[in-house]
Amino acid sequence: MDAHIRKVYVPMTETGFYILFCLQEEMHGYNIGQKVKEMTGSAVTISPGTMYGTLSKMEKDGLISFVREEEKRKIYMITELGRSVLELERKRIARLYQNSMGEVCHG
Amino acid sequence: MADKKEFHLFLLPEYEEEEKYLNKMAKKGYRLEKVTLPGIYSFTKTEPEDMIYRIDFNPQKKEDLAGYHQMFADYGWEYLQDMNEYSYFRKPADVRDKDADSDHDICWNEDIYSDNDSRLDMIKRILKTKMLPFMILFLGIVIPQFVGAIFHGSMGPAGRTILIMWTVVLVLYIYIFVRCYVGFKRLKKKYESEM
Repeated sequence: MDAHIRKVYVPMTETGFYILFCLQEEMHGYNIGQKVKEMTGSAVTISPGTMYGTLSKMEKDGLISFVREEEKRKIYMITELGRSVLELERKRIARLYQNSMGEVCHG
Repeated sequence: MADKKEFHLFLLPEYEEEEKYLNKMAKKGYRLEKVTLPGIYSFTKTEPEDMIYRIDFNPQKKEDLAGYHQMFADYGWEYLQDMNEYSYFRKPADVRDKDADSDHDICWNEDIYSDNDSRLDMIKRILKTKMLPFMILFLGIVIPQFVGAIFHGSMGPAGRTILIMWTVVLVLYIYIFVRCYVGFKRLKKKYESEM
């Protein structure tokens, strides 16, 4: 993983994390928005400009890839690079959570 | 035929002011028909409407245009037009996103950006696509022409006319540049402080 990817995506915005998380399955933008809303009980919502901008940026940086188009909607899926970024974030958030509970994080 | 035409000059970083202006006009019963360069707004007379206008800057390649508009349509935004590479959208304030289920949905629903990171990304796009060419034009053409005109200014009335012309262009350029610089700085500060 190069320096640019690390600089831009580690740590990641909440929006970025949820989009990448959802794209472990094939999905289009509006679907992702709905799923995130459902997962978080409407605490995290993603508007269309943010959704479109983040998807374009992640596609350009190779974190996700375009799969196909369905009724003018682009369907995306996470790439290997995306998975490793997601894994880094997952570890970082787990450590953050453990530390916040007063625990020491090993490994 | 438009029922009302107004001229307003909103510069590159003044899209939020422009949105507010369009929202206010809708409340007064003027629905935007079209906007043309350099800032002529044509309205149709309607009943007062609670309408939300939003302006995005995300120029698309031809093949991506349909997908870009579809994304906004999915969230209930009507695409109106492009001007100067900015895209204009609107949505009635009381119409919810098609799956909205709580009051919470309404407020995020009114904006096309949901976090300041992506708002800052939009500013970066404007700076790169619009401000950079503006600066190149300034440094590459306006300044050299102005300096040239100073030397020709001593050569009779024709030279003086040219000098006056380039002075006007230079002053205009500096005025626009300063207003843009201050505007972008203010937006950046606002978005960064809310993060």
